[in-house]
Amino acid sequence: MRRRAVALLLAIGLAGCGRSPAEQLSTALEGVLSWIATARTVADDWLAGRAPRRYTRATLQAALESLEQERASLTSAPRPVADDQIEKALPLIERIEIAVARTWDAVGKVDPAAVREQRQALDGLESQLRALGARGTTP
Amino acid sequence: MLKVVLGIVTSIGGFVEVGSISTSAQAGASFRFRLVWALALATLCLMFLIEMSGRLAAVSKHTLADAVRERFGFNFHVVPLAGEAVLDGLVLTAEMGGVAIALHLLTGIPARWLVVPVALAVWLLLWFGTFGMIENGMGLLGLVTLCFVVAAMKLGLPWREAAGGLVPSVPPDHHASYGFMAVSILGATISPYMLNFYSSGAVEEKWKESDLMTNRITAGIGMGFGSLVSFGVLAAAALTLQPAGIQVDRYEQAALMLPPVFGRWGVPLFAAALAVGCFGAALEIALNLAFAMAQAFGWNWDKNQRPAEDARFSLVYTLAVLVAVVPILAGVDPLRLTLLSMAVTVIVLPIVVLPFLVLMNDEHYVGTHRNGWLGNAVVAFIVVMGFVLALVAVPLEIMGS
Repeated sequence: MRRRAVALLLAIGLAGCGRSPAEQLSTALEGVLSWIATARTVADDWLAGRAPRRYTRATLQAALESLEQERASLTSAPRPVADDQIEKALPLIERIEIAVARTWDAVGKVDPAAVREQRQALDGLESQLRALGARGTTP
Repeated sequence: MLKVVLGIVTSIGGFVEVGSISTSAQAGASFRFRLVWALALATLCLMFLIEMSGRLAAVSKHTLADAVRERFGFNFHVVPLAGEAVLDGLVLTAEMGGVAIALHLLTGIPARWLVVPVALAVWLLLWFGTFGMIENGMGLLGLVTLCFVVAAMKLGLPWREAAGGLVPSVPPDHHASYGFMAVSILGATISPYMLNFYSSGAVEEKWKESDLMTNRITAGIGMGFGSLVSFGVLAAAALTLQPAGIQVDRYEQAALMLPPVFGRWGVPLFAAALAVGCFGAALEIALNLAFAMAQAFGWNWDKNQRPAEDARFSLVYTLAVLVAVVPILAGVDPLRLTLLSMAVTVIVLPIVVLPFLVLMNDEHYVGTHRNGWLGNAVVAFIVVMGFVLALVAVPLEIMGS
């Protein structure tokens, strides 16, 4: 009985160690959505005078690095299952990276109008990503 | 009375560190209040273990490490000692990384370069400071972490939903992540280093049997209120980050939970709370590593003596601080290191806790102040839980982090 319980625990633990490409895509898109929300929130906070400039830029830099990582993980993912969706997601993520980089630049130049413009661009890109089936965490 | 108040205040101020801030923020941002039960369970376990560590020290005048070595012999003691040394090394690195990240949030300078002055500051305080200065000073400064509780209240804490989180419930998806977060919260709260550090402090301060009530109050009320700060982090994240769709993968994201309440002071407050909490914990962990080594090998270990009078003790914490800087300088992400160390904690936990079953029932050590059935049941539960969690911690780390 005890051996069975231990074996069951080990099986539960080890069974999920591998992830399917569809799961990888879903996890990566979830991460991308979270970083879009982060970039949007920190931009809003900066515009409202709630976030210091250095912190805002550090957060946008972190968003940029993480988005690059998500894109790299999708590029190297095995393709057979979610091939079509990955091909559609990759250029979208690249455009999101560009929007975040431009926001970073605009905050550096203290240009609120440009920050607002990129924030709107992020909203549009998020909608396109959600149309691909991406969704955030739901408790 | 002053001793009791100071004990409670320093317990609150010293409760939160890199592990509790990151795991609570992640739990709240991803699962709202669903993991409150894990925090409550871990706090309850910690209260019992801390009380036992203090009781052992006050009655027997032995620290936990000292008593384990004497009662079970060096050959047994080397197992928990090695586990604790590895764990302390990992957590020390994560804590110093946490201080560096806090400074990075304020200055924009990369954390990997800030860790060098942070390490120097930790070492200087260890070298020149007294035990009381480190424990009480950092505990009092740590009261800044109460900003999370204030934030949770001002955000309109939904009491009913939060109380509902005391009953474990499985989310509709993200099961592996949920399991990993639960393990991480347990690992972050029941920190093995706290047990030996607490008993070492009691021996340093020459606790007697008359201090048992102070010990009980500090362990119960102090740790209870301390965990309220962790709950504050979880609640603030649940009420700000979760609705915005932000998961916490980096500390920069966690800092976004305070500006909605404190405006332009939100980010500096978050940075101050993270820095003070992590700095205090780094001091305690480096000291605990030196305590554990000195007690295992029979060296002098009084922190109130000058470093020249207990040179090997001072050498251990000096080397620990030096080694802990390397991974951050090499570019290891402190948050990932923190989550790894939480998984390692649950693996080490049963080995560290198992001796309590014998020591706390041995008249030679605790005289008439032996464990009752409840104390023994709690220790047995923690050991069994630790073994089960140790089996699933690594697979969950791979799947859920």
